[in-house]
Amino acid sequence: MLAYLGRRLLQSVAVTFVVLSLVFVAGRILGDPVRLVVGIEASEERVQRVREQLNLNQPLGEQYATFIGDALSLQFGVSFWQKVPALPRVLERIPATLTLAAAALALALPLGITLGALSALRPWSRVDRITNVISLGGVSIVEFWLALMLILIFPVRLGWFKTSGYGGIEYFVLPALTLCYKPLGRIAQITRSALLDELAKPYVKAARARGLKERRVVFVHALKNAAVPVLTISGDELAALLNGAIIVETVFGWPGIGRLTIQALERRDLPMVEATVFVVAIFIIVTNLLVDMAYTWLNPRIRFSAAGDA
Amino acid sequence: MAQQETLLEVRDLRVEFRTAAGLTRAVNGVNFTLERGETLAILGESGSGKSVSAQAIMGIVDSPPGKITGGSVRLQGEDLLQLDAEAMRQARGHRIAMIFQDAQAALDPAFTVGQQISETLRSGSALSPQQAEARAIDLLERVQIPEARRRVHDYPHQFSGGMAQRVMIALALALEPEVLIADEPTTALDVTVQAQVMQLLSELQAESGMGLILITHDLGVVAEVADRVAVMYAGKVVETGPIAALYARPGHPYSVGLMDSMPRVDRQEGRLLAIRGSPPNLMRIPAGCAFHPRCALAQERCMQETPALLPLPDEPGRHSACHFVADIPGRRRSELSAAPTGKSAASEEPLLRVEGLVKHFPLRSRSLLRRSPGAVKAVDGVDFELYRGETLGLVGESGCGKSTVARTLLRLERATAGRAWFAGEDLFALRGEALRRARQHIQMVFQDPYSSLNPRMTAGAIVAEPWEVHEGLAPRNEWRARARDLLQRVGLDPDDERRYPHEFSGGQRQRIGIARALAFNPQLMICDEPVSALDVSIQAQIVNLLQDLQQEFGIAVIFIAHDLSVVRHISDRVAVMYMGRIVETGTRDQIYNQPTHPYTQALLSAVPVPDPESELRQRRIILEGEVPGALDPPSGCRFRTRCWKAAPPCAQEVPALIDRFGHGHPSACLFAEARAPVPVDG
Repeated sequence: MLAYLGRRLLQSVAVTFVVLSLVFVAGRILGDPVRLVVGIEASEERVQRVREQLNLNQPLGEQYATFIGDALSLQFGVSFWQKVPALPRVLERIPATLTLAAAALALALPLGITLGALSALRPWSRVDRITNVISLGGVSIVEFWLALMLILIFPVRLGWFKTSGYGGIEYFVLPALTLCYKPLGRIAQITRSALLDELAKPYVKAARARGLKERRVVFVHALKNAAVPVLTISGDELAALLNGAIIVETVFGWPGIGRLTIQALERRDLPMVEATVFVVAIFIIVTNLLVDMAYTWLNPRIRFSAAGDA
Repeated sequence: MAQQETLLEVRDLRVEFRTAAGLTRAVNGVNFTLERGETLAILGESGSGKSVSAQAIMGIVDSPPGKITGGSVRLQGEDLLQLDAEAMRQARGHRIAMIFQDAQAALDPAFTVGQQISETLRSGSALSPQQAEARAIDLLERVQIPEARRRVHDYPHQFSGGMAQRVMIALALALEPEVLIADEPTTALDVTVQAQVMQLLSELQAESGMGLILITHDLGVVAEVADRVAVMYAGKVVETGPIAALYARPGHPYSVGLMDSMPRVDRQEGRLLAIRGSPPNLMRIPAGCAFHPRCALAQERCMQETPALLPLPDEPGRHSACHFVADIPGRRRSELSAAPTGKSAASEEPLLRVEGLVKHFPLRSRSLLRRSPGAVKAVDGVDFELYRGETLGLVGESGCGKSTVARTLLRLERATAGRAWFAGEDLFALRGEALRRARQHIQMVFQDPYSSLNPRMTAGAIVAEPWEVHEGLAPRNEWRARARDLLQRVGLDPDDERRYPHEFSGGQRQRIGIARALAFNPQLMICDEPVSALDVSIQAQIVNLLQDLQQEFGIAVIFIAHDLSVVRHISDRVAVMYMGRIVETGTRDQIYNQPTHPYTQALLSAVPVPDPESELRQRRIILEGEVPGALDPPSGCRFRTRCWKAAPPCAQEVPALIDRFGHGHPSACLFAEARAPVPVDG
């Protein structure tokens, strides 16, 4: 198992390098960053000064080496826009994004699994049909529309919660609700189909034949086996949430990474963009690593495959 | 069986499945009883309702779509069908337990076997986790799992098939049930392992005095262990009775047919007597006696009136459901002299000669830094010859490399080493057009008639496809007529050309597969377990068909099978494989009557013989353990780890496959010695 995790960790490091390289290439090749910063009107002298400041007059290879070296020591330079080091600014935004993502997933996971399991236990029943409508809505409703509807219903009509801003629970409920619906729908769908597959397997019949309680057969045996695809999809959804729920953060004025990314892009703040992309990438890599670790618990065959036990 | 105490009494049990396709009557009035300490075999082909009956007794029929529509299941007087769900749950495992065909699949892959046993124990009684684990180890020891203390923490996938079935048995015995239902417990296992598991089940039954219901399609297994038999057909018990009498004088035309169509390892008969037709579709069960469309004795009355299961006069304890029970011949056909096959003339040049064939599958290294961890030695030095018009039976247990030999000869796999000459050409050196020509002459019939036919092509198109691929085999304007002709030759209706594979039964699909192979006009046909997926009565039809076609077309056949009875029936010569090597080869009579290699001897003696009075049983050799991993085979003779003759030289020297007795019967054993585990007969 350690070998398996070690391999995954090595892969993660490789992926980090690829991400960094892409950020580097995108930042330098797709346009002159100096012109982006100083504007087209600026004097040639000023352009040269900024170019030196940003190390942009060196050969590309050296630039790359410097960039990777800086990234590894977590130096992304000074934000053009805020005139302070970029990375701390990005890190400041993490708690806001993380709270929102955690809340959305904390709602979506239990609700989604429960709905999916209810469906799977009585396929094609009324419960199943209602659940299907709910989960289909989750995966198909566009987030900004849902956000606007929630704003119309709660703060505008009923006067509950706040429309935007950051602070106590009253600011937090609506964005969390908006964000949780899509993962909820998807998790419910996957749980339903995975659990239906598992319930049809011989070991379920054999567990019943041993006189185990139905609750135990379904929620311990079948659900543990069905959890692998559910976990995969949850990991993907969590990654999407961390990626800065750009739209939701913008609609609700939530000061998370998503909104920062948009602002940095609007202001052509290259160091800030690089720092956000890097931080988000690290988050996604860590999420995937956690998912991989959970796999080994759920599926013992993965745990042993590394030991040459084919 | 000393004291007569009826444990279980099933009366008129009926189960239906209501699906979108229609109403399936899987069980239509099943009756039987089981005494304490008794083994009752429920014998039937697939779709006869035997497994569904068992699940109905256990109360684990999937519902919906299944529904128990009538009858009673009395366990020590109490009708299980009247119990509420909770009471039935408590009865399961405690009073009546069940084991399944595929033990690997019947164990939850996500929990250790110890966890699963403990959980079962603790569902029944208030044990602490420590007590439960100790008891789990006891149970694993009781089913003879070596190193139980360590293995209790292993997951199901770490057990071999035979060991997993032992774990399953331990689970079923955990709560000490009165009745154990074993649903095809050894069907998925190799024959030597099958013998171990059946012996274990018998021992445990004798110890505990429980009643055992053994569900199987294998008449041999039944004859080995059962006290009484219930024969099922189309959801009904058509005959019951004590094993010896029933086998000696079957009391129902279906039982007669089953016994005649079963090839036997202790006999060789010219032609198997197949039951015509195939088992009925349970959505459209024939009126009257369900067997009448396939029955030679059928008359008007059989089509209208359903026969009741009535006692046989003068035969205590026997019942049969046939209107014309008196007309059933007292004895089934037994002595039909073996038609001399006389095919090969040894003077000829062989059609196929294989020398030193080796196929290793290197394991992919999981890390870039480490070297490849080794190779699976699937085939490790195989030589044989095959003459025109001859049938070579290639037998061995799963994983012995017999299918890999076939795949390398078809050039589906590249041989690691060795050579093969086919009709004088170096088969492994052929390229391009020459290879295409050779492939036309070597055809394959596959094991699984379900996945080896393209579901989107009609039978006619499947049979005609070879002519499209190999131009010049048949002119286009004759394709249709020829395809119809081939379908007829393999026993199908020429009009079937327009039907799709899913409209055919398993046996019929295998016929299409054979017709397709014949369309190439091959010189060599490799049949890889062509009948092992089929029911006994259908197996006999296909085996007969293959024999007829071979005689008609003069094709050489390599017949690969794990079933020694079928191989005996069809082969001129036989080669026995163990772990990638041929350990013994010779004519059919040499192998079956005078086997010299210990593995052949054990293999032959492990085959269940469908004759309860056979004296073979006393001389049974039950091998210990299972086949070692092919990654790291034992040094010297590979069989030595399981061999009762093993001595120090066996570990050093690889015994060559040489003619040790000078009558053209090579054996790869240093201590080869003729022994007749199967009496000469027929």
